[in-house]
Amino acid sequence: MDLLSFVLWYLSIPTVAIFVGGLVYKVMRYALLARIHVPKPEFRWREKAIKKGSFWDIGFWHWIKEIIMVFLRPIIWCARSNVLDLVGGLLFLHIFGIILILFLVGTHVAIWLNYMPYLKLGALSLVPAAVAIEKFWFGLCLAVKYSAGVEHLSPWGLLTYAGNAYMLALIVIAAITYKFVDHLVKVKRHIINIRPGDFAALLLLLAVVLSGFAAAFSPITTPITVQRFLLGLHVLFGEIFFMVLPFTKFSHFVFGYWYGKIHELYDTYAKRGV
Amino acid sequence: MMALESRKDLDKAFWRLSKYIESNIIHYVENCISCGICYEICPAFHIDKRYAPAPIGEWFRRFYRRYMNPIARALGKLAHAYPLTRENLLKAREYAYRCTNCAACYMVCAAGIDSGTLALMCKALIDSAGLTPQAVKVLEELEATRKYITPKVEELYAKFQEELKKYVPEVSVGERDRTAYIPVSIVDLVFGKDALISTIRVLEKIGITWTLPREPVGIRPPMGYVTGNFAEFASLVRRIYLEAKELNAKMILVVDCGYTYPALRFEGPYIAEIEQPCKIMSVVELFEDYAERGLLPVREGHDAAIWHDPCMLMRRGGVEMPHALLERIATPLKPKWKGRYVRCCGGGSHMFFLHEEVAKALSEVLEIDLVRMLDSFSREIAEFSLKMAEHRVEELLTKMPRVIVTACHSCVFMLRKALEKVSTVRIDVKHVSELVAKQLM
Repeated sequence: MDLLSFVLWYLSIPTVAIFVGGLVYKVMRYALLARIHVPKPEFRWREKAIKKGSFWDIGFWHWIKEIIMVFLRPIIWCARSNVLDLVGGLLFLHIFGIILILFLVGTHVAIWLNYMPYLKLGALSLVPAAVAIEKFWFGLCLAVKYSAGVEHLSPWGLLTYAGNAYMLALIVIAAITYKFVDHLVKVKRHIINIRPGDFAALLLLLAVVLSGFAAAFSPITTPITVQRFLLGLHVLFGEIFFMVLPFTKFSHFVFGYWYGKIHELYDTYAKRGV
Repeated sequence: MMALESRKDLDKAFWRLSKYIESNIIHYVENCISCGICYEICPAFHIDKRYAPAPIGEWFRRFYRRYMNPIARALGKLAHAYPLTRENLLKAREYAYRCTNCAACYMVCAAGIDSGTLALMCKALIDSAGLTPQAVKVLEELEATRKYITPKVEELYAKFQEELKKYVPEVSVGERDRTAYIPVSIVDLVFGKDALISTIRVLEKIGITWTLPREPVGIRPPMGYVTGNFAEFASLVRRIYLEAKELNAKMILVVDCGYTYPALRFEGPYIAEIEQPCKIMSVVELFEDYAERGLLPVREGHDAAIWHDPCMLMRRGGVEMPHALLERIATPLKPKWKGRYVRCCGGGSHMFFLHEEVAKALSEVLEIDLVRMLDSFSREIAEFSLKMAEHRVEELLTKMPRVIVTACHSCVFMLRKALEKVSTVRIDVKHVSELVAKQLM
């Protein structure tokens, strides 16, 4: 049994179990430690609603605006104060790295569809938006294999020449390197919140991307054993990533960020009326 | 409180504090992604690049990891898990006491983390080791034990009431069934007497009945909000709530819109575990409401005035710049940064008490020598906070105001002090109540 078979057939279930278990542990801890039955102050948004006459005057549209703004505000502030970080951290690392590569690159779409076939249905389908592997491939090439009957071209059109997995991977590698250097600079400036774990997280991310890059773009003449090893390595790093996710800063992706924003909305807008 | 010296005692101090570690605190501890968005908005970061919200919160995270995270505990310093020792707490103090708890970082944090709260938690641990700056600790203890009611304080309160008689027909002290109960503190009497008299004059004019407490409710309650002593915090909040309830007041009206306002209005019920007895309002809210409804009998004013949002009023209290009010009593200038993004004047939290002038003034009425208690660390922090104020004043001066208007005694003090250093032109700093009273018809 080679590495690829091992990670696919033996390690995937423990990975999912650790990931789900970790997440459940985390959510349960938050739920159990929440102080719910304590006296509460009068919430200000209610005060404002009463003052203005109706729930809908203040409530609905302000809530909608605030729900959007609570996510946008850090981005706006970052654009004002640190454009480099906005580009390197948000655009390149998060948008390109997570949304485009992880969820929309053709090969990944194929995997998601394999494990979650219901995604093929309806508007939720990732297939139409799949990003090409390389500029002369269409994003659908692999995904289509798993979605019988769905035959259409990638909506990315000419953007495929720039926005393909090859280019995106290079951008993400550059972004991770930027973050690594940025952390090093902070350590040198005696900014104490940068920990060895931050570097380890970036290295793991780099390992996932580099192994994926090597597996996807190794020459056609590469022996199949090497090809399988590279792909196995990529899946292994990916599985390690998922296993440690609930216990590390990566958890902001599935939990911390969303909890933080919901709590911020509750605390600053609903309660204090900021 | 006795200073805890041994490791075992300090460990126990952490477990005592763990009562207050709820899900939000865990979120603040665990979900910082070190993105650095919060750095630029922090007033401390502009003075010294080592101090920013994430590093300020980091010391509490380090202690938390040691006691609450078994994996981090096993990895030790590699995972930044540090035990509570006197040396570590001294290092932590360097960070926690540079935070004004202004909440600016909370407003822009990508993950919704309030580093000011982590600094406060860290201060609670620092306090248990007896490392709280002595001047602040003494004030907190005097407030908790009610020993601040010295003969001089009684005399000061009586004098204040005498002075008030010049403006109002009857001074109401501890009377029932009045609309507004004004929780007067010693800081109000020493640093905000004019603001207090002005507020009462305006209340008389608009027909709101009011009453003062039987004795000053504290030094600047709750001092536990400054040192992280949540028990003191809770007892002070309870004391004020109960007096307001006993007097059957319709509202508690806060003139000092520093931390007193959010402590009573928002944090009080959680910490003290007691229902609010009535509505709690700041003078800014009340006067703005009257101005909006056209019920404030004031003459038009033409002074070029710029509003400085007190952090605790705006970001922790949700009270915005009083547009309608300022437009009636002055010519308001548009500040470069306002509301969520306004920079702190450096007087937040404990910072105010570490200035020599403040210590001197409080020493006189409390009959203790607070100035002697200001050690080199306290003076260093005071210097640091003055630099923050200078930054803020420079920002405000770009709009060339005639008067800077705010609603917090420590903001008034800090801005005046910074103006003396930075500006050659005479610019007034006034509490909003003073400006309203000046324009009363």
